[in-house]
Amino acid sequence: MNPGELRQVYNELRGTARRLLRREPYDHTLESCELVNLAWARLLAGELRDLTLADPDSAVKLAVTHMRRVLLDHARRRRSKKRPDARVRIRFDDAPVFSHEHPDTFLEVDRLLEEMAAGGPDGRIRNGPRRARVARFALYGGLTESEISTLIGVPKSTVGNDVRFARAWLTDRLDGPC
Amino acid sequence: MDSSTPFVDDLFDEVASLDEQARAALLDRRCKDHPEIREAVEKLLRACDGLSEPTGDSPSHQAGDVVGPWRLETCLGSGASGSVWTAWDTHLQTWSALKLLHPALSDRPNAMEVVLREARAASAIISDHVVRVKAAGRVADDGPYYVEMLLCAEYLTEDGGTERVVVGRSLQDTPPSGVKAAARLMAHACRGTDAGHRVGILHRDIKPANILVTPVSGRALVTDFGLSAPELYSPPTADTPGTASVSLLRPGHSPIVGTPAFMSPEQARGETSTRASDIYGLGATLYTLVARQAPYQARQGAESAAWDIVDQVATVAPAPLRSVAQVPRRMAAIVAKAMARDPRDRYPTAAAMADDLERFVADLPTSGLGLAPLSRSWLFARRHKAPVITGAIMGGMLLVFAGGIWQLANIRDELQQDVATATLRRDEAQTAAADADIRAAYSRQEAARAARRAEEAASGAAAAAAQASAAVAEVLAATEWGEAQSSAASEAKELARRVSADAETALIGMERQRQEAIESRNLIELQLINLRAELSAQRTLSEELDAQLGLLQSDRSRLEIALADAERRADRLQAQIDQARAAALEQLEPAILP
Repeated sequence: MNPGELRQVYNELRGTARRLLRREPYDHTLESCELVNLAWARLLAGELRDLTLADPDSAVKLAVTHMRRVLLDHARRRRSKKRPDARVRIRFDDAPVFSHEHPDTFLEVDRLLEEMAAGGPDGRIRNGPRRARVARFALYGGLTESEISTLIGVPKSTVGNDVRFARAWLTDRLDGPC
Repeated sequence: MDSSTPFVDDLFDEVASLDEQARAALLDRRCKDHPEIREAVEKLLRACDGLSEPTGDSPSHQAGDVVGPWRLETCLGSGASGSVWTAWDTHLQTWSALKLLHPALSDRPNAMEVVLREARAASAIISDHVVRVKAAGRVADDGPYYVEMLLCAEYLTEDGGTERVVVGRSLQDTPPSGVKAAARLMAHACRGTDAGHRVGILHRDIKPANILVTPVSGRALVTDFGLSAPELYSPPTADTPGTASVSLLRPGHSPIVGTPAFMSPEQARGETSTRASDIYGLGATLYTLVARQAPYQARQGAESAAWDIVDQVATVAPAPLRSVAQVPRRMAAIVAKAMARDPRDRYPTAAAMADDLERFVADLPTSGLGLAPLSRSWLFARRHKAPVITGAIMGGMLLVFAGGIWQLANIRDELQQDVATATLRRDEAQTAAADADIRAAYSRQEAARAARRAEEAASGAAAAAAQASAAVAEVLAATEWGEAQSSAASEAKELARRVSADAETALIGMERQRQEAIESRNLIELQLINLRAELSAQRTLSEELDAQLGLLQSDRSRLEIALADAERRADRLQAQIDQARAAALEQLEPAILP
C-alpha cells in the first residue's frame, strides 16, 4: 500500500467511525472503500458490517484495532536501521503520514504505549491502561477528545488529561535512553 | 514504596495546568520524601511545556478559508486576542465582520464562558454609534472561538453606476484632518460609549483602533465593546508596543485590560475600571487625534515600552495639549476635563462630553452652561419692542414691562459675562496647575542632575587622590633606589611634596564643589516644596471657582424663569392692547365714516 492509498483508507475509516459515533445512517462510503483495498473491504463487509448494525461502538473499537495493525505493518516494512528520532513531533492527527515518514519512531511510540499500559518501568503510573487506551484511539483512530469520551464513557476533561500525559510521557521517553 | 507514595500520572494531571510557582509549591508538599517521583514529574512537565509551544503558532486562518457558515474574505487586522475578517455568511448570503480568537486561547479552560458572557452583554447595547455583536461561540468542538459583528461598511456608487461595498476603517488607520472633524467623530464615539454605560457595560479599552468610521457617511462607531476581558489578553513583554491591548497584573489587584498609551491613571495603578476610565479613554483618543501623537510615549532606553508607559500614566500628567499642538483653547479645555487625573474631575457622563463636543462643532459656548437658549429669548425680547411705539396709555405700561425685560436681559448679560470670566479663570487656574506640575517635574529632574554632578565630582576627586598617591609612591621608590644620587633624590622628594600638596589643594577644591552641589540640591528641593504648596493652592482656588460657578448658574436659571414670566405677561398685555384698539376702532368707525 502506498502512503496515498493508506491515507485514503484511513480517512474513510475515520469518517465511518465519526458517523457511527453520531449514530448516522449507513451510506455508500463503505462501498467506495472496497475499491481502495480488498482486505479492508473484507473487514468492513464482514465483521464490521454486522457489528455496525448491532453495536456501533464495538465496530469503531474493532476498526481502530485493525487500523493500528495496518499502520504498524506499514511502518515495519519501512523500518530503517536508524534510532528513533527524539526531535520528531508525535502526530496524533495524521497517523498515516507519521507511520510513513518516521516508521521507527512510530513503532517505538507503540512499544512505549504498551509500557505505559503496564504501569511504566517502576509501576508508578496508576491509570496506565486507561491512558494508553485513550492515546491509541487518538493516535490510530484519529478521533477527537469528545469522540473518545463518548466511545469509552469517560469525561472529556479526563480524556484531555490522558492525551496530555501520553504526549509528555512519549516525548520524555523518546528523548531519554531508548 | 509505601502506599502514600504519589503516582506520577495523578500528580502530573494535578500540576500540569498550574503556573510555575504553584507547581513548585504543590510538588514541595507532595514529594517531601519522594525526590525520585518529583524528578519524574518534573521531567514530564518539561516535555509537556516543550510541546505546548508549537500549538501557539499553529496555522492561522487565510483568505478563502471556510469557518462554520462563513467564508473568510479579507483580513481587516489582527491583534493581541485574534484576527478580524470580512466574512461572507453563506447561510444568510450577507457580509459580516468575524473576530476569530487565537487558537492558543482554546487552552484556557474558561475562555469560552468569558467570550460568551462578554459578547452577550455587548449585544445588549443598541446605538447607532456602536458596532453590534450578532453572535458568538465556538465553530465546532475543536474549532476556533468567534464573535460575529455587524460589518462597518456602506455601498459606494461608482462612476459607471455600479454599487460597491466599501469597508470602514478605524480612526487609527484614517485619522480625521482638522480639529472640528475630530470633535464631530469623537462626539459620535461618546454617544456610543454612553449607550453602553446606560446598560451598565464598560468598554475598558477605548482607543483610535477601536473606533470605526463609515466610509461614505462618515459616522463613527465604537467596536469591541465589552470584549476586554483579562482572560483574553497576555501581559506585556519587552517588545510589546504601547498601543497594543494587554492584560496587567499588579500585586494585590485583579487583572486589568487596556492599552498603555490610552489607559487611565487608575487603570495603570491596577484599580478597577469605571465609567470615568472610559471617559478618560475618550479624552486620550481625542488628544491623539488633535495632537497627532499619543499622550504618552515610551522613554528612550526603557526596558519595556508598555511597562514604561504604564508607569508614566500612573505617576505623571501628560504634556498639556497646547504645548504639543496648536488647538483652540476650548478644545484643550474639553480634553483636559476628560483626561483629569482625578476621576471626579472628569465629565460626569460620556453624554456630557458629547454635548460639549457638539457645541464646539457648532461654534457655541462649550462651558456646559448652554447660552444658546438665552440668545434666543434675547431676540424674542427685541421683537416685542414694536408694540411699545404703537400703544398709547397701555403702550406706556408696556414700555415699563419692556424696560423690565431690557433690564433683566442686561443683568443676564452681566451674569453671562461673570460666568465666562469665572470659566476663564478656572481654565487659567487649571493651566497654571498643569504648568506647576511640569515645573515640579523639571525641578525634580534638575535636582537629580545636580546630585549626579556632585557624585561625579566626588568620584573625580577620589580618582585624582589615588593618582596623586600613586605618584608619591613612585617618587618614593625612585628616591630609595637612587640613595647614592642624594641631590637628585632630594629634588625628587621636593617634587613629590609639591605634587602631593597640589593634589591636596585639588581635593579641597573638589570637596567644596561637592558641598555647593549638595546645597544647590537642597535649595531646589525647597523650591519644589514651595511649588507643591502653590499647586495645591491653585487647586483649591479652582474648586472655589467651580463652586461660584454653580451659584452663578442657579442665579441665572432663576432669572431665566422670571424673564419667561415677564415675557408671558407682556404677551398678555399686547393681546389686551390689540383688543382695546379693535374695540375703539369699531366704536370710532361709524363716527368717522360718512
